Amino acid sequence: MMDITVREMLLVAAFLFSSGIFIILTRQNAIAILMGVELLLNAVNINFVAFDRFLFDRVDGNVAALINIMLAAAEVAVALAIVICIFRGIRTAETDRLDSLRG
Amino acid sequence: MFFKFLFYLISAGIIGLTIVTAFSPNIIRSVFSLLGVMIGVACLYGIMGSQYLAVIQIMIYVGGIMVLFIFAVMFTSKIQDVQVTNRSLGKVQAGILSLAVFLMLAFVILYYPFPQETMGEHQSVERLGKVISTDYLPFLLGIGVILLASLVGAITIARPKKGED
Repeated sequence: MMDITVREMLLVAAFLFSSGIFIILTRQNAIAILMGVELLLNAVNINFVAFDRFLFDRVDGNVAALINIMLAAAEVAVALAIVICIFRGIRTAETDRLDSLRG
Repeated sequence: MFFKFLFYLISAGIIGLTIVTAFSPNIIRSVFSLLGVMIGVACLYGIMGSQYLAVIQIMIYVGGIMVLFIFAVMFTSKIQDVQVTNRSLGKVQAGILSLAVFLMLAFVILYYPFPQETMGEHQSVERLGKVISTDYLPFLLGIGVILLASLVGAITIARPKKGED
């Protein structure tokens, strides 16, 4: 049988999570920040499936990951629509330039 | 043994593509390497034996979300002169923060006493379908309603107003 342990799988997910945080902290473009959020969601999904597979022998975590993926689809659709709407107004998607409420 | 080798290969690919996503100054290249990361995650699901999630990951992430990202990037960005760092937090501080998060997670993962690994029979599509259509049916219906509402909202937000363009 295959001999991958749960720790290796969780380490890959932890790397994805921390690099998602790095992308969110460093990028200035709103679309790139959304890419960081997608990396975070994928890391969490890997954790769910790995706990299911290696520790508990159930499928509840798979259902959680499925719901997570569908919510990510909804979130990305709305967020990219908002980014396009902002771009149509002020011709940029850089988050530092979104200061029109500052007065 | 073969699965272990395959797992290491896919993990190395995922980590490399994630680094490209984080550091590439060209945002098109970032999006395409993120697409590679998504395909790698689908392969990890396949290795862990949940084939249904692998298919869903390919269909929704690779086929839907990443195409949406590519469209949005091509609509909005000035692709070449993207500023990689933002002005309030430099790369070094962000690197220290995310490295701290990774080390914390790795410490917990390496030293937490997990229960005995069971490795039951793999999670077949049949089991997942039974659970979805009995226990988790309200969640599935709610997700359907949320997805419909958010797609209608996205179209409404992104549609050009009358008299514009």
